[in-house]
Amino acid sequence: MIDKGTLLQQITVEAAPASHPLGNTAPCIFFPEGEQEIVEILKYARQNRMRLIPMGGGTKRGFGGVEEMADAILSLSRCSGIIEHSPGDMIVTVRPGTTVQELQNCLAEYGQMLPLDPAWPAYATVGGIVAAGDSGPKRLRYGSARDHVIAMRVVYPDGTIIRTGAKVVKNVAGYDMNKLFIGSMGTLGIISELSFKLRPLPKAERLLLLSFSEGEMDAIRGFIRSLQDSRLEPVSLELISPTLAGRLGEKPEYMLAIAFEDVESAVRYQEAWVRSCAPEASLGRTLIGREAQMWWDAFACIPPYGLEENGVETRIAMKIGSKNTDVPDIIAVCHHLGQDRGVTVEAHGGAGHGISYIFFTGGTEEELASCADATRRLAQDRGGYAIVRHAPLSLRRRIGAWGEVPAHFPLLEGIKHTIDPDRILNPGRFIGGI
Amino acid sequence: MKGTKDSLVGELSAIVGSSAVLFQPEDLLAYECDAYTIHRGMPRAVVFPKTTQEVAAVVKHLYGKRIPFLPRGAGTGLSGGAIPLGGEVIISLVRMKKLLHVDVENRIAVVQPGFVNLKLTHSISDKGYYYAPDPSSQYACTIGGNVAENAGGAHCLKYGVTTNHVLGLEVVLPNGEVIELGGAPDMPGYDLLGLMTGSEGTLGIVTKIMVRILKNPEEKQTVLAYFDKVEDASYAVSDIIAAGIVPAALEMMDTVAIEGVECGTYPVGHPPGLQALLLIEVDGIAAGINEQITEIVGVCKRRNVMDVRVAENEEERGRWWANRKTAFAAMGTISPDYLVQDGVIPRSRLPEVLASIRRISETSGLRIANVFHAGDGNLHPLILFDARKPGETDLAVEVGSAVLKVCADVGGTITGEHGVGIEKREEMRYVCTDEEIEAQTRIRTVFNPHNLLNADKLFPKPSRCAEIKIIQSDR
Repeated sequence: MIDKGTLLQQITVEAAPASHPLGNTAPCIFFPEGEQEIVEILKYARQNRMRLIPMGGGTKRGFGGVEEMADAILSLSRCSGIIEHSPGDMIVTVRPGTTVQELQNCLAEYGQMLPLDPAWPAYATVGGIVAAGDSGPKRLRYGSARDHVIAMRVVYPDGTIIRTGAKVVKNVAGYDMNKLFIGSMGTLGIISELSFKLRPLPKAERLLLLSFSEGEMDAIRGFIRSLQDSRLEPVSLELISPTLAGRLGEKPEYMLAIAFEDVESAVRYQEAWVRSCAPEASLGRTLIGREAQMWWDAFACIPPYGLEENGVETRIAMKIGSKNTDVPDIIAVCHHLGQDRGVTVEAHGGAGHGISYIFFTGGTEEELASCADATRRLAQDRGGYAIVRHAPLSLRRRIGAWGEVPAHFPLLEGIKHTIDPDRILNPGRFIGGI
Repeated sequence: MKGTKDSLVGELSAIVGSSAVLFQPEDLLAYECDAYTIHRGMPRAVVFPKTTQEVAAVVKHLYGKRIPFLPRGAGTGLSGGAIPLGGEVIISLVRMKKLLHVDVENRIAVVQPGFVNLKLTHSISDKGYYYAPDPSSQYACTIGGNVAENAGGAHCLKYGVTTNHVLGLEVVLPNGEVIELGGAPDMPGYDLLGLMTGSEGTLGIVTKIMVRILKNPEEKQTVLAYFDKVEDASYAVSDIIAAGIVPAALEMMDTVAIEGVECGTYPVGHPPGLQALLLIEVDGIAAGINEQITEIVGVCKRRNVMDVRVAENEEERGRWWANRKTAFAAMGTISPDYLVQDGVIPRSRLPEVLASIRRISETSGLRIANVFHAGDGNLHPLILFDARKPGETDLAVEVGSAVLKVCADVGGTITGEHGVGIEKREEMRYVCTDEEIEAQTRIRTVFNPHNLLNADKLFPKPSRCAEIKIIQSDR
């Protein structure tokens, strides 16, 4: 089906299943093994007007897009490994197909980490999480991908290689082009190399789990307010819905997961503060060091993801962005959304960073779509937004992945057009059909 | 309008009022340059809008007539971003200087672009909050200007630069349209908020800014360490970072810089003959600070420190910082003129880069003082010269360029926080290929299609190869 030109002869191409309930598939997959092969594939695709879907670990297949199929998938899974790690500079340069876990393991040997805690780190690739702008609860303290990417190499659809940023921690030479590609859903170029600024691994860490029964929303809000107004420096302040707490093996009540990462004395002091200032009845376990890490490992495996086989129950994940102070209400309202609809709802949100995730499982398509609509209205009423982070293709077509386009949408289209005029990269995957 | 034949002055006055338009040559003189004083250009007029609507109306009018224009804040920029090339209308944002909104619970503040950086911290300090980006000019520079330049400061090692603190923007596009960016975190769509920040006023004029404010750290301690070898100080910097400490600030000054600051307004009494000093600050949870300070002092001792002291109180700490933050101006006491450079290098290359800079200084005969953010590898070589001596200004510019080449050659960059502006347009070639420059100018075209807004800043003129290509394709 693909008439491989001479240039492409060395590149592995495999046939792929023709359809997938999540869509975003293609009849064949390219497996380039380096930047030059990416260049050749893009040139070939452009000449032949082929539409390509870039893919890392495949965990985000259900994220964005209303197309069943493109012409080929461009898998970055064989472009992996660390290119350069300079521990003294706390900078690492990696290929996009490296999994987050693999990178963290290598860095840990030097007492360093990439301060990002996205879902499914064993499968999710650094290229994928950057392209999708993924983050986790610890962005409260450490920030998100846009705060850590310092340089990239990007292959443009015409085969040109563009370097963005520089492998230093401060740089204002020209536009901050890194930002264009972070969260661009692979619609502008193929990231072939990424450099991150790192942080030292914390010398100590503790995770405190606080539980509140359903009627105690005011107590939760009050405690969050007093914690945020203190001088404490929590790494996470994640509010977790009762159903999700139950799935994580904790009491099925509203739960606050409060993490501290610092030197031992500072971590102990902060734990003591929480233990003395939180409502007595809420106090639960404290997980220390490795135990805390294992709890977060389990937490990272909560969301539905694109590698699940067919036949699993239909699930939708939505991501909400809002004001920090709206998070408790959003979690509480969503927690009750499933009641009349036969849908199970699990939710968590960062009371200090404003990102919430809501997971809907079970029920009919009708019921799921109505939950998604309600979630979107809820976010919009509060001046935020809700996007569909994961859903089967049929549901994405029905409810739309991205919601309304912003007033400045012509600028987004202009950027897409100037970089990918033939729309060969992930067409229709992003907001407004970009 | 009396006193001018330029009909544009009357048209602008109709929008913003006659008291908000300058057009007399003697009034315009003050706007010939910003803090990059080597280059000057005359604007056609300066307008002082008070609202977003006035900015939009002025821009729309100028856009319609295809008259070039540029925004200006306090004029403290060090790369000439607010200098007219000749004939532009300057849109000064200094009358849009309100603090619009503070929401401590959500840790946000909303300001107009002319609001002065340090005033934000002063306005919220009673509630225990502050605004982190702290460029040395923070007592004067505006937050709008900070956004345009993606300004940094001494404390961005731990807390990041302006872009890490901007949460939302209202922007007047070059055609006069008003858009809003950001607001909620991770707004869907390309990250225009990130792109706009640091675009040096070439993509839009920022008229409202939502920034993150931070809770004051519980405790802060500052260490001053004296070295008689620059290398020892450099290695101490690396060792502190390698020990897993993230200092809030890690600053270095060399002999010439120390001589300057000691002659300046805020001398500390540094002993004469030092080769380098480090100013190191750690902040955070009080219970954890001593442990880190002990470790830092230990590192300095292992690196042969001559003397190392911990600030005993806020007053002493304040004096050390005043000494450091006025370093640029203090150079005026030991040299008639100076040129500030702003290269960035991987911090592990510090010793060799400092050695190269020393060689450049010796060869050129110009003294170079080094004041820099050592923790993030951001060097500020201050090239001392005397503009009255024929040729010395040009020599200083050449020396500056040579220093940036050294930075670029070790994998660094030509500017860490001052911007490209007019000054470093050609040096962009040290770090970007023609294709990479074109990729950026194409983005500019999306926002600023007629290149009317801050025209011809930031990027070098098309290279000869590119010109030849265009000529050939015209045939």
